Amino acid sequence: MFRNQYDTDVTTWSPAGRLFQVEYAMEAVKQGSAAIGLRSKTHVVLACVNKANSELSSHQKKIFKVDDHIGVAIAGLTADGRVLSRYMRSECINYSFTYESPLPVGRLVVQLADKAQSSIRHYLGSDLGGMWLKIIFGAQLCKASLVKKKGFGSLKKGGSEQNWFLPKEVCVTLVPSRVGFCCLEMVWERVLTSVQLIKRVYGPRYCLDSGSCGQFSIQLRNCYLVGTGILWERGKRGLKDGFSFTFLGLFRGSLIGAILMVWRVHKFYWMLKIVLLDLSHLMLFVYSLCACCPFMFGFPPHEVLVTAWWVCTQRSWKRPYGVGLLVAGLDESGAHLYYNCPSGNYFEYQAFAIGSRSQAAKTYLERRFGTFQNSSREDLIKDALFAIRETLQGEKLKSSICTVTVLGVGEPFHILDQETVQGLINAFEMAGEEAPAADQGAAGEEGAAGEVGAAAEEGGATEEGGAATEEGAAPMDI
Amino acid sequence: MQLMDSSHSNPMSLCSQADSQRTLYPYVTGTSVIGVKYKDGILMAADMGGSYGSTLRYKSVERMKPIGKHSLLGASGEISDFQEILHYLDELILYDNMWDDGNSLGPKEVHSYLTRVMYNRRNKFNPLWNSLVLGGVKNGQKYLGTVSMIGVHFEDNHVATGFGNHLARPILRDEWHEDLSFEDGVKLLEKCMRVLLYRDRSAVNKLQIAKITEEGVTISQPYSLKTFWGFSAFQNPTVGAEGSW
Repeated sequence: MFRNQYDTDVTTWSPAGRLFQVEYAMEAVKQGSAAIGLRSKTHVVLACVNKANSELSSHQKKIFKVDDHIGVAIAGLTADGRVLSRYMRSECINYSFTYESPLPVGRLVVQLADKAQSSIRHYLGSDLGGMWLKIIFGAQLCKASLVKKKGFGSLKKGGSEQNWFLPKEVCVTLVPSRVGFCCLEMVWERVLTSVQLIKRVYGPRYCLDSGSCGQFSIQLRNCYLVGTGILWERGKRGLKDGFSFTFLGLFRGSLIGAILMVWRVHKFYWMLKIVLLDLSHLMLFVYSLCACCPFMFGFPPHEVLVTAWWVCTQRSWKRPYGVGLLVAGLDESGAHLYYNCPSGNYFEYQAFAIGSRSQAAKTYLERRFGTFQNSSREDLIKDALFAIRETLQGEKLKSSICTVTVLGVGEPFHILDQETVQGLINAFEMAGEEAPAADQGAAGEEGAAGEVGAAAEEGGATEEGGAATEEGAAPMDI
Repeated sequence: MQLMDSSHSNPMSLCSQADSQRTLYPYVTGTSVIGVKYKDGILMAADMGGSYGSTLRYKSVERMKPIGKHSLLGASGEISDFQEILHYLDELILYDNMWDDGNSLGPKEVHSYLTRVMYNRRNKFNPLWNSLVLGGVKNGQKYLGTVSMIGVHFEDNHVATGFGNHLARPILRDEWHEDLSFEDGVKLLEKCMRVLLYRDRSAVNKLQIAKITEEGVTISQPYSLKTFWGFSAFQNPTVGAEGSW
């Protein structure tokens, strides 16, 4: 694939109807070391090639046990794989807790695919991924001494409390997050559990249940803020009483948007968390909040602490996951093997291989897959080892460079230990190698991944279909 | 909603409406439910009474309902809470069906889910005032369990709620055995229900028997048990009583 003008952003379509970022993500899968999976009616075997950075380091963990009845092998960005397997584990364990039953693997796979798809869709504004703003504004100067030492500014109060106006200037210091956090921690420790904040904000004439949405608008000088409020009850989402708004504002002709959450952290302090699209709107928000304060809380703030820090750019909804997952699972209807790709598609397979030099393994598996359905456990493992050997392209197959895992009826998912695997390898190699020897001749071209029979089985990875045929230069060449 | 007025609402005002939202007492209640495992599945019996305190006010309350394809739920206690539980389960089954993937929630899963719901509510001091009996068959496996309003849950070959705990379970312990036939099972349940009818003041003589097997759920039409009141002690009951005139 060659670079083009439509491939910077995952939310940009090309005129041909392709999402290049997604296709590039699938390329990342191809760069990872090989992982293969195959299943019979009652057992599933996952195997992978262990890659280590150097002889001194340990190898990358590529197979994860998700539950007694589900395991996953990954290829591609292993960090993404680790995060996703953690997600899978937590889904399984939550289901088990509520229903005292294992989560059907087909449902887990769909949830994974939905997660991958949504990570392609969401995108948040600036390159830096947005900015978190924490503003604490307090009603009284209780902690003034502490605050002043740290050099935070305080608002000037003008006139009586009834006629409050926007300050001419707001002394606000942006501090690096670590410093700010120390102050915030101390305030956080005294969290009050009161439900009345909501009632106070909306007044006694509004009877809003938690979870309901309210709409309001606040008109301020030079700025018109419209928000929809979502109330939540105590304990939900880990937050105490408060509310959240999505702000869409027009200020001097420019549109600003932000997501805002307010809640009470202390008798005299409220915390605001804002995700802003743009740093340039920071000051506007501080102004507006100071102005909103009397309407919302009945009194103006006496001090404002602002800390801001850049959100780390690795946000799950910024880019597609760069990892392919082979999910092996057992449920009431038997053994299953699924492949989840970064595009958010998933397919069920009898046998499959992903990662670098996987084409060789696929060729081997294609020739033999007819027998898999009724294979015994041992034959299945044997086939897995042979398939792994294909990907090694001549390198000697040893138990130290591969990992084999088995899952079956009456057999929870587990990794076979090195001695067992080495024993099996030795046994197979003694028994003769006519089948694999013939394979090695045919294998060779793993580079042309778009080829033929394998592509048919890869089926609906439609983005790959067109792109893969034009190999040539590496994907990111300019 | 315009928050335009700058009226100074008292920040420290406390209106405690939270309390009136909790369940404090039950109002319309159903009495015992009894369930037993038999050869083909589960048999459950419950009468159709809804008492309003000591008044036997409602006489056609169905206290057993099928849940999904594989389960049957019977409840004693507050009827409105039972209806709420049915609402939750309806949603649960709906989402389960929406997956449309050949998997379905069996009685064990529903029982576990109900346990979580009941226990959770109890922790918030806002219980669903019910004792539930959940029975079902899935893939040949029979399952019979119970959940109380505080989240106590277990499964067994025969269960009873309310007064049934005291009056029916001793009978079941003596006379239940593995692989009861349908007729024997019904006879056993009727025996327990008759005792309850005589001795439980909130029982009404109109009951239903429900059965669930691999094929599905059948809830019988309401019927009454025959009772006998012709004991000699009941003729002229006041003879010999002191102070009678």
